[in-house]
Amino acid sequence: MMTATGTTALLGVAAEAALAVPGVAALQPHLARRLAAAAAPTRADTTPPEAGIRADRAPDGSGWHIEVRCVLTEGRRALDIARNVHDRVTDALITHLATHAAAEPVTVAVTVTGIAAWHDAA
Amino acid sequence: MIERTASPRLGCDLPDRLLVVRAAEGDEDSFAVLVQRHSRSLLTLARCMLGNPQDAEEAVQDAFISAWRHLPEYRHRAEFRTWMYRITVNRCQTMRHRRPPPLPLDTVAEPAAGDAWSQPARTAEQDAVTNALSRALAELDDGQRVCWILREVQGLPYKEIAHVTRTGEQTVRGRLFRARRSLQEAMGPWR
Amino acid sequence: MALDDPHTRPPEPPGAEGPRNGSAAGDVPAFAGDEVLPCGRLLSRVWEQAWDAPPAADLHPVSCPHCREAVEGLATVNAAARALRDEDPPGLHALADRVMDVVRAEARFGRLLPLADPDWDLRIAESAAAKVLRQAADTVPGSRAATCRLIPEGNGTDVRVTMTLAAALDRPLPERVHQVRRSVLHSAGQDLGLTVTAVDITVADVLEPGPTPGPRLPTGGGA
Repeated sequence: MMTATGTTALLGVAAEAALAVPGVAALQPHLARRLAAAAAPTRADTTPPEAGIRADRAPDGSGWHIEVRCVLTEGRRALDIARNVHDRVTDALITHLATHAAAEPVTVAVTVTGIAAWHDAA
Repeated sequence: MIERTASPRLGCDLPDRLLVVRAAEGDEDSFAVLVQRHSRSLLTLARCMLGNPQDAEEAVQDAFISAWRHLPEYRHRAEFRTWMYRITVNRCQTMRHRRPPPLPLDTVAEPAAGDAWSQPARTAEQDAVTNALSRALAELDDGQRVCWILREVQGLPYKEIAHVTRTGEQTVRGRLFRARRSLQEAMGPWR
Repeated sequence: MALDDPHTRPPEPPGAEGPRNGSAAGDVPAFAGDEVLPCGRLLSRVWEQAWDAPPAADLHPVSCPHCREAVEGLATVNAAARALRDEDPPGLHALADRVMDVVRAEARFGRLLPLADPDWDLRIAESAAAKVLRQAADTVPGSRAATCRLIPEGNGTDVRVTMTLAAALDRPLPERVHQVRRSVLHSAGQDLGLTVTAVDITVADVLEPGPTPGPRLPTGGGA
């Protein structure tokens, strides 16, 4: 059973890989954090990038299923960026698992939650 | 986090009813245009209803967020503006009932230093008159206050006031008349 | 009270629904506390006529000293009302920002649509796709998208787009709809990477020419 640290590390690896893909503007904040922010909105609300990633054990315990929710920038086809995110995150996680623990299967799903116009991007 | 500006493209020339349809489907930029268009008059309304700018900002913020959440159910039977007025009026009335009135009823009608309604551009006398009016407004019956503000400050026709308050035009006219009478008496010394 | 008319109209003149305008002392006061002026006019009607109604042909209130005094009695109140209306609320911009922060935090995504990838692991939120496709429709002159829904079709990655438009009437509608369909299909392929099987378009509204329609500025008087 992975420790909490291990899971957090996975989220961080996935987030870093996703954010490095050209065309990814940001990760979609986690639902729980969004609701908290909505209840008490503050201007300085910063959420860690890992918030847009969800990591679950596969139902039969063999490996991980990762969901990446991201916001893209304009200019490239969303499908192509999503593919890159899928591939890079998968590679990064497989490498991480092989290095720090036993190699395990990883499946990655990518959901594009928004496409920011040029003038909107940070 | 994305830094978002408040200036959507291609949206500013759309009428409210198109923006509403888009926003109901989750288009935040269309909602941002609606917020820009209507916040000034809603804020003025709330300030008159509540007597201080902080409460007014909270009321209008709550009203817009409530509108965003309920947009998918909004049935377009009233104009968006009318709907927003109604939400804002209801929010203000809820806030008024939950909090103690901002002024005791025996307050002398003189402007305090740094009063919420003061603005540097106006003369002291103008400030005093406006302050007296807002005190007089605070003492009106709820229904009369709403009708008077919507008519005299917002400039709405009777029919729209009736829609906002969910009453009939005769009721609106009656409340408006009584409000005018009361305010005339309260402002008597200022003539 | 059912709301059946989406368009605001100026208020009916006081005479429209009740006693005739400018009637004599035999008039029944409609409101508690109403007053009959020495000239026979009802105070409530005098006030309504002065500020709430479009100008009427009735010239009595202009010359009658009692009516004029009644109108003058509210001058201070109404001037203060205008001052309240014209005050610039300082917190406007910050308010709009706070509202949009919450709105974006509560973003509605809609259903998830498959992007055109055989692995089916890549999806896009309906609201994100709809926004791009609406913009594609908006770029066609004389056309503005209203609703835009995307629905998965079949078992694969096929998607059907259903859109309503507001269109100007300066050119034949079928031609405009055709242009919009082409623009949407192009954008779906180029910008998103969706496999769109059909784009159903309905013109549901007329696009009016002219400057930005915004909220009516409040006026102190009628209409």
